Amino acid sequence: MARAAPKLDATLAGRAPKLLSAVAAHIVLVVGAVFVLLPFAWMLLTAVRAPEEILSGSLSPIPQRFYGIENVTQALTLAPLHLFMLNGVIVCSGILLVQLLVSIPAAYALAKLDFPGRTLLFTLVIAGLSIPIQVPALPLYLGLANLKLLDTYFAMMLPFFLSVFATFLFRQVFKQFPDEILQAARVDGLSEVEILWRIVVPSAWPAISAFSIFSIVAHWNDLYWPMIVIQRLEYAPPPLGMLFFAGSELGTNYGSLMAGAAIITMPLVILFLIARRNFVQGITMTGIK
Amino acid sequence: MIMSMADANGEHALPEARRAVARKLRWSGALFVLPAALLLAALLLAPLLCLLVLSFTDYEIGAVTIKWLGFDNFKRAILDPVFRRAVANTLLYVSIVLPGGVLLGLLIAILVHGRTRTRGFYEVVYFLPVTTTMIAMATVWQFVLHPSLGPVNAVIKVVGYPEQAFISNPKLLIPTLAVIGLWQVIGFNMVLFLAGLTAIPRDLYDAAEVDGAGGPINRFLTVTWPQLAPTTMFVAVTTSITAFKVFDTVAALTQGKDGSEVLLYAIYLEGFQYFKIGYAAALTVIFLLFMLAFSLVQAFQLDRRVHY
Amino acid sequence: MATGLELRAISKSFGVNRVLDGVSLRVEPGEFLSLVGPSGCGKSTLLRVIAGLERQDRGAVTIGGVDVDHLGPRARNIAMVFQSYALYPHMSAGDNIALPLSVSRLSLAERLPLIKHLSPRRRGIVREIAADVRAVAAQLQIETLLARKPGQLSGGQRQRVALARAMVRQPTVFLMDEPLSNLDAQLRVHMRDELADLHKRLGATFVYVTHDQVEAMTMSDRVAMLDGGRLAQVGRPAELYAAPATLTVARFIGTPTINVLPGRIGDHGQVMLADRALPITTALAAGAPVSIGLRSEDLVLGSNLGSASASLLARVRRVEHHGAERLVFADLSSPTTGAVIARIPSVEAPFAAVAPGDLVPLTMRFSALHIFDTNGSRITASVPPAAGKPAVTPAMAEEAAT
Repeated sequence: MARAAPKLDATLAGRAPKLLSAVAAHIVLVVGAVFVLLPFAWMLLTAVRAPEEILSGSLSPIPQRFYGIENVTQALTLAPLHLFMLNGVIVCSGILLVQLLVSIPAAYALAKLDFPGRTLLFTLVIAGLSIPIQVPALPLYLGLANLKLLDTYFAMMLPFFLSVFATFLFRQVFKQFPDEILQAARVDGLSEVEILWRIVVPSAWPAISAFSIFSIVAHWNDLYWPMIVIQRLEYAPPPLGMLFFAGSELGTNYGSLMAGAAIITMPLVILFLIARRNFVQGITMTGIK
Repeated sequence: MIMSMADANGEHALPEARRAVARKLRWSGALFVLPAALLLAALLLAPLLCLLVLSFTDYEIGAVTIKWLGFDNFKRAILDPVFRRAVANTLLYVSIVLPGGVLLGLLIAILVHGRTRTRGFYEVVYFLPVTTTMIAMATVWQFVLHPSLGPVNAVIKVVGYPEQAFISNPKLLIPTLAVIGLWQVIGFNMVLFLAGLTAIPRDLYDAAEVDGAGGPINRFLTVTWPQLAPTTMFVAVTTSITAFKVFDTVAALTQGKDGSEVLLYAIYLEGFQYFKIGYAAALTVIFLLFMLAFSLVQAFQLDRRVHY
Repeated sequence: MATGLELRAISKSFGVNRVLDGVSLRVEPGEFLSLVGPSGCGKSTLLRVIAGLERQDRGAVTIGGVDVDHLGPRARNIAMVFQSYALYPHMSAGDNIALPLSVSRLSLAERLPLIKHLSPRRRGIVREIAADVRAVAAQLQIETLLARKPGQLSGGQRQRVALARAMVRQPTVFLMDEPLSNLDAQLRVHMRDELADLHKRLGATFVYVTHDQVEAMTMSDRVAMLDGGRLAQVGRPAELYAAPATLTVARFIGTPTINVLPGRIGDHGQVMLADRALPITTALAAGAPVSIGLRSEDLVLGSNLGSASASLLARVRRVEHHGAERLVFADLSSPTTGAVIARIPSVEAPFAAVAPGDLVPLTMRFSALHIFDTNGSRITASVPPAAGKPAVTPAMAEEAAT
């Protein structure tokens, strides 16, 4: 028989303090959560406090005087936040629309059709995955400047019209689509365009919606490229608008600055709370690579 | 359609019809990729080539002549104290965010994974920073860390220490930026680790328990850690890349002043503020080399994963 | 050497869902006991309770006479083989098999990377472990596979590695959770044989969970059938076949599935099938509805069995040829209704020509009828001596079940 006579080993010891380990886990998680939530809490608190209370540096979590409406009104009058957000919506939807229209057919062709240069194109797509926007930014800027296209929505959107990531992702998804169905559709007389948009795309809806969220979040929050091509405030997307706002002398009016930050942060937070699963999937989709 | 016609024509017509279908598919394929291929050439390949050429010149916007400099831009970059400081700052930043982001992300993921009722709550909380506009939250952080008005210094003073200038003190600046970076990256890494943890078959933990490898440490060593190895590698690479591209917080908090340059901000200043295009192009090439190195590590790792 | 185990009134709920409801069971030392039942009947949970992976809400588990409720899986000295095999994918087959030994013989520090080399006694122990691993591997003929990772092994090979990992500690009780269900049909039949053989050689106690009644019937000393978290019946395979305690057991055990016809109790206590009184009596009240179960081999083509039987007319729907026998799928014609399956040996030449659409006489053997009340419990029925015929022998039943 085995030499190990039944002894009261670690498992028994590990069973009794189950409660203890749960408590310890909660303590660590709550401490972390406080760190994570601190700026949000402070932002919201400051946004509803009166200036004199803010300047007193008080730690009280309850404002003595509710000053939220004044702060928000001031933020909206001092900085065209609604305009920044409208710009964000225009730029994000423009980018996403073109990205989908370009990458879906290309991904389908890469996955299911044979054409000259397929391997080369796919190699380039994979290589492109590791090149961030900051790399082609200089030449693209020069090109746009030459064409007198700076300070336009088009300039903000152009570099992102081709998403190699979307192309790669959809290609992987389409690759899973059974060939028999495509052949059956061809026998039924459907054209390739119809096969793609009516049969293949609906089946890939989860991936497409996940990518859409990924794309919206990435471009809503992007600062680098707009900072380069946009000088005029009326074209600024939210992050750039926020930068102007914080950098101006209004930046010391903390109440309205925090109100502004809250307003700019809100759309994505709300989107996140509504579509939590899709959102997490969309942003972490890079993990599928 | 074509195939059924071929059937009607009899056996011998089939190869011809097949070829017709194949030809049609090739045409469709070429048409389908045309926009993507053109954009790829215009937005990625041509700029890359252009960038490489520029990096060997002294081109500046508004300059009348362009001179071929060879590797002078690169030599200058290596000797440039500002650029060296930018690289050093970036590496310091990465050296805090990479281990911190991976280990804290893993810790939080393991703790969250073990919860049942509160799991959703913690997931939402920790993921919240990932969704937010960094520039806005960096502004908030600046205020949270404000020497006289922020809650952090208020607490420090209550405890009995002198107030800290987290942002204007050059010694504290990069660590402060790194803490803000960690604040945003932990939730992202947590979600990746959670996905990895969920994929571990429960049977393995049961088997470990029956085999005597029960208890948190044994479970971690026997099952969790080896099973998460590929995820960990992936998380480490993505965290490095994200950390390497630190820009927004610098733009919001210091605008690269007082020795707070980081790689991307230095490139931004040289290229788009001082318009020294040739030099900025050379810096961009150096940045690209770093990015490619990370990608190679990742590709190598993906290759190894096949062995399971 | 071998230890038995005993379960006393085990109950277990997950939330509001009661999975086990007062299960009591004794497993004798060295016995091969199968836990069977449809999916969701609680058999896997019961196995996990025995293993200590799941804690019962009520009841007690003893292994070898020792109360183990306060012990973790390891201390219970049991081994478990999982449906998925649960091999550690990053370890070679040899390391997988060695793991239970290294955990028990080496300290935690001696297993940590780098630090482990500091221990002077480690090398000796590692050598001993390797020898033990080779010995077990030899028994299962997997010596040549020890260096491979699980991903490089076939299903059958993984199965053996999992078995070796279970055997290497020489536990006295083996718990197996559907270990054959991931194998293809042919390999499954082969491994059935090997497992039964292994059980004999090791002399250990086996508790074997399966949803496949054929596996249970062919390998086990006894079969315990669970139904909705309760123990429906425990007994030798032949007993479950010949005298199922409930309608569920009757339906679960045996292929093809037992024929079940609706009946009721007549005025004199006799069982009625439609308007026809069968010469069988029960103690149930007149008018009570019953289910009449009849195995396919007890439904004979023709009407030549005399008073010990009764003929029914049926329309043949389909005939399946199984080589030595054929199965006749037929619909009873009025006044009796229902679909039945009759099994006839192919050598019964006169009926070789049975074809779909034919109207044929089918004869029931009264002695082989199983009567169940509305709760599905078996009712003792007595057959008058005149109608008596030798009951189905256990040997026949066992053969029929496979």
